[in-house]
Amino acid sequence: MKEIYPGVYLTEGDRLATVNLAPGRRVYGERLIADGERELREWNPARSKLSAALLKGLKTLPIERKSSVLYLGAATGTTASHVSDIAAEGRVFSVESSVTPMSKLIEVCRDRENMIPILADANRPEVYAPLLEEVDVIYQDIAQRNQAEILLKNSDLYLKEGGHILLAVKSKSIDSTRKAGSVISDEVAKLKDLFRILEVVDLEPYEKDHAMIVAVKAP
Amino acid sequence: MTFTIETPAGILQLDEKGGFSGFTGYDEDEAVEGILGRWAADASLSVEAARFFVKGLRRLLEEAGIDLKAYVEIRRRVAFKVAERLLQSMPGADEPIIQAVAILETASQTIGLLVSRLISMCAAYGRAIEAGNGKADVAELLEAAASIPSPFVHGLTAQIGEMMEYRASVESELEELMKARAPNVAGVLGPLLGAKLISSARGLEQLARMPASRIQVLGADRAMFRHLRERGAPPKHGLIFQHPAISRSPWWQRGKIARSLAAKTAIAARLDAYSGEDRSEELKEAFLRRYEAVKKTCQEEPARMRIIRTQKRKGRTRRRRG
Ligand SMILES: C[S@@+](CC[C@H](N)C(=O)[O-])C[C@H]1O[C@@H](n2cnc3c(N)ncnc32)[C@H](O)[C@@H]1O
Repeated sequence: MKEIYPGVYLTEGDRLATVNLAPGRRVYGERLIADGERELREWNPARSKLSAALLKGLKTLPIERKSSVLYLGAATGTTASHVSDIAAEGRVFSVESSVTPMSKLIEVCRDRENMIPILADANRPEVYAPLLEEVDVIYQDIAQRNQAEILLKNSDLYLKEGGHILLAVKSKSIDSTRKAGSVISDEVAKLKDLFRILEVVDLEPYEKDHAMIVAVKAP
Repeated sequence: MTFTIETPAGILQLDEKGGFSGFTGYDEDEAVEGILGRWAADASLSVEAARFFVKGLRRLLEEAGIDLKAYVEIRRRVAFKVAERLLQSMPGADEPIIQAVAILETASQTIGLLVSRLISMCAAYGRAIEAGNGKADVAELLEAAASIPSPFVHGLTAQIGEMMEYRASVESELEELMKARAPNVAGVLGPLLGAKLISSARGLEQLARMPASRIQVLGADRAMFRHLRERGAPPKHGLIFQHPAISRSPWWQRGKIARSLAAKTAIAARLDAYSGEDRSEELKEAFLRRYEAVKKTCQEEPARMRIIRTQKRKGRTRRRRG
């Protein structure tokens, strides 16, 4: 079992896995693998864009053991739970605006001491300020037209100087008439004032018309 | 300009530059109330206050005399309570559909009540008017009643006419809601019957989680309670039997048709709840094929089996009064 990023392992079958912070518990039907004292959870790239990005060769995974992460668009916690495995001694503030996934997300958060559920609209980050703190990383995966604007607002309030962002862009949800490549570069352009772009990784074949952008907050 | 911030541990006062100017501790339940009071977008902290709070958090907690570790634990507990309270208070996505179905039911009951009053009133004026429950029947009744020179009768006919218009407008609104939220269920069952099933399941997601066998009897339980209360005929079937393909078929074909319709409804509900893809045409055609096949192969009325159970049932209904 090789650790290929901090807290992320490559299994014998060449799949990704993270150390289960809530041993014995599954979040989305993933396979659990016993590994000596600990238990690993397989991390399915077809279900999680971050897993897909890592398998597509993302060089920097800015989330570490003690990272504090603001996760926007946590849905039912599929990816957020793996982020919580990686940031085992940190915190994952998990924001989701929709009621239906939130009931499941609350249960996932209950099993994981570093996860904090927040039912709120990421368009208004000041609303959840009383439950937050400055973070090292913002992970955002919300298929919305104004996703760059949402990320900028949240970074402005919550991201430390030198902190990182991971942005999953669904290029189709911005403007379905244009090519994925051009839409992604538009998104990148919007981020340039506040961030230095480190990487853009296309998520094919795991996700069609999707990319993961990694950037660092730098004046 | 000073700032008041309801934090998970207490109320924090900041001066105009974001400096500490006061703190009053409270318990977790008060924290939940305080934070929820600010959760609505128009009541929330200003961006400026939020920034002062977040950027100065460690220093502010220190000045307020709160241990950071304890604060982090309290904050997590409070966050759970806030999320749960919000979940309880937010209407589900299907609440408009559920409410519209309830309004339609109330409107129909009201119309029925007013119509029976109108019939009695006409009889009092020596005009016996027969009427069924259908919309055409009611229209006929209203027309006949119009010739009776009585303010009572006119008042009633006006109310009935208005209520019928209102019911029609709710129906067309509900059709729109269904087309947007559940095009597959609306396509397979028709928008109104589809809405009744969603309402009976208390939501599309709940309907989508049900197996077809459960969908087939959905709504029968309510009729069952009514039956026990009012001692009417026992219900054999769920809401789905209101579909014309079933209600207009002879009794021996109904079970087979209902099974097929319930199976298609189950698929439709899952599509609407989880994928959103509109495949209602395809589902409707598949149902119609099955429907035609049943019509063709089961033309003969089978010999009827009677189960005598009258006595047993009598004993049961008597014990349960409404
Ligand atoms: C593609 S899903 C996220 C999947 C998730 N990141 C994962 O990999 O497990 C997008 C989520 O963002 C949520 N969302 C959309 N707009 C939002 C907003 N303004 N604020 C917070 N969440 C939002 C949606 O409700 C949905 O659950």
